[in-house]
Amino acid sequence: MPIYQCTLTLHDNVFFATREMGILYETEKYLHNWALSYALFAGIHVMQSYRLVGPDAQRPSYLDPTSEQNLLPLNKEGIYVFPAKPLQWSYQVHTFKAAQVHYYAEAVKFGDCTGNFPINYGRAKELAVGSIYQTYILAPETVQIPRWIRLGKWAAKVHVQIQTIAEVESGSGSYICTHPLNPLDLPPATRLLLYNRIVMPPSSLVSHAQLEGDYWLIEKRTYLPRGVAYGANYPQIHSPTCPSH
Amino acid sequence: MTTKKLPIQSEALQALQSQLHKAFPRLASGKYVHFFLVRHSRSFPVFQTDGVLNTARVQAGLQSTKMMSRLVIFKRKQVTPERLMGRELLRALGLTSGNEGDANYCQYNGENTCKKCPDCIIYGFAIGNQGSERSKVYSDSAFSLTPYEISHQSFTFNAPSEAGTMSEQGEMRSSINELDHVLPEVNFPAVETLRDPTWEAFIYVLGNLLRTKRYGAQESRTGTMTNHIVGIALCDGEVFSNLHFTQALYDALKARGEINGPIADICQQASQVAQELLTQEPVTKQQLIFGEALEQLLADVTHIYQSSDQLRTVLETLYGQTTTYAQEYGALHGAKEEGKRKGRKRRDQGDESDATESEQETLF
Repeated sequence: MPIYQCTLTLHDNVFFATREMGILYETEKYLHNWALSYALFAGIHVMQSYRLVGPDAQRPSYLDPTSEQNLLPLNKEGIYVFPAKPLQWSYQVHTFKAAQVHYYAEAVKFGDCTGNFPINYGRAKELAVGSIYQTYILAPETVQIPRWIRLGKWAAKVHVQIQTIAEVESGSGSYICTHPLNPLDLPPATRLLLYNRIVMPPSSLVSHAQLEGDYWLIEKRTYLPRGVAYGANYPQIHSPTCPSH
Repeated sequence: MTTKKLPIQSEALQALQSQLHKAFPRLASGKYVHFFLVRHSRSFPVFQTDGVLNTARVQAGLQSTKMMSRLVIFKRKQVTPERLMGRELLRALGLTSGNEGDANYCQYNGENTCKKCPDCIIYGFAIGNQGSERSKVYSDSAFSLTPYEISHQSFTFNAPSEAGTMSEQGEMRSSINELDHVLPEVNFPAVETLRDPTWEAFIYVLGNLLRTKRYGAQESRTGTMTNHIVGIALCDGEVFSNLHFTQALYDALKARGEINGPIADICQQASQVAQELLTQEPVTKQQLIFGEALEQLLADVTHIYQSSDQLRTVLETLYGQTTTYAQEYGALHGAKEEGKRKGRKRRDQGDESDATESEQETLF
């Protein structure tokens, strides 16, 4: 199966709330692989419903087999997207508000607000236009990878450029992966020895990790773990008490 | 269908009737309508979020790689006035009401959103625990064709007393300030995307684009803009971004020597550029509407909006479609949905007891 090297260029500001400090909402500079997977394959390989109701709207469904919009169908098709690493990035801070019909809305509290600040105003620290990311995608040749995707809370347009990697060697042993990884998607046999943790929801990533297990060596430079799949290291999916029962 | 009785001349608009959905689908599918337009300022709009005009530093063209600062209209500043225009129309026709207590009351951006009118279903809503509807209208921040430096001007404004003076009974008023404005005749090429529409939803969103004339802050005094539609494409996927479109148009105009020429020339060039860029996109194009076909289609849509009977027919049909959608999948789904939710809740509780504490901690 081919491994694609994928370059992502932001054509609009990308924002998602990784950290919330008062009214400042900050975007992490790494892009989570689950978010990228939805952005690349929702609507075709992963179901996407227009209407989200009640608890389902609030509940993460990434690895929940009972939920319609889970990522597990991608495993069956042999598709996997790695988290994306920033090659060149900058930030812009913008104020936003959720106003009523009138142009000018007073700062009022709404929703379950416990702090002493208005929650219909906020400042978003967004990844700026022109930021460039790199990631890797595993997918059968028959799968079409879109040229434009939408990412983040504002559904920002991102340009996707794909290049098939010609030279891939495989091996096993101890190696250092400079690319960010999602530890929940690593094969159970792979051991994560040392890493930098990238704290972000829905699940933290690791970067510059030292691992032990099966790997691919790409163009004699980059190591990637072999056998990755969505939730591969998340026992709940494979346990007999899995939610489908 | 009642709409077939409408006197439609345009073949393109007729063809769309068979190509678009008959009813709004529950799941997103690959039917995308892209509107290519040039947003053209006609007075002094203000697009700012933090006291200064919004700008971004980007490459001038795709070929000309020098960097330049461009004015930016954020996506929400484009879509909001358009959807408000549509809501105004729905209220004018009595399909929705702005009065609390009425059966068809629809509050904008609040928990009393009706969840069934065309605005709610097409442009989406989110109400905390009550759930959300994904927007079917996708926009993208628009970038000015010309650089920031020559596209804006700073004006001083004041709020004098009724006598027209800044002093009142011997005291000076402090109501004086300065604000950057976008100049008239600045162009913002843009793509607005409508996903999974019915034919009536297409007319509704296109009408909002044609009818919205004011954007940005202080819109009761300034902010007039015209949306020149230069093409429409029906595809099975997303196409190029606003920035890509702007940069490609910049290159094309630069090759001809004049970046900010008359709007008619820019629209013509934008139409050509959009068609060229479409040829590079790896998507299937079901229908491309440019040139004369587009003019005919726009004339027909304008005609529908000029005739109150035709407009009422189209929007009543649309209201029926969105209500049916709400009954089948949305807020009006009622008892069936409630039962399903309870079933899910039971399963969810099962889930949680199965997951160990450490697993939950690792996951979220």
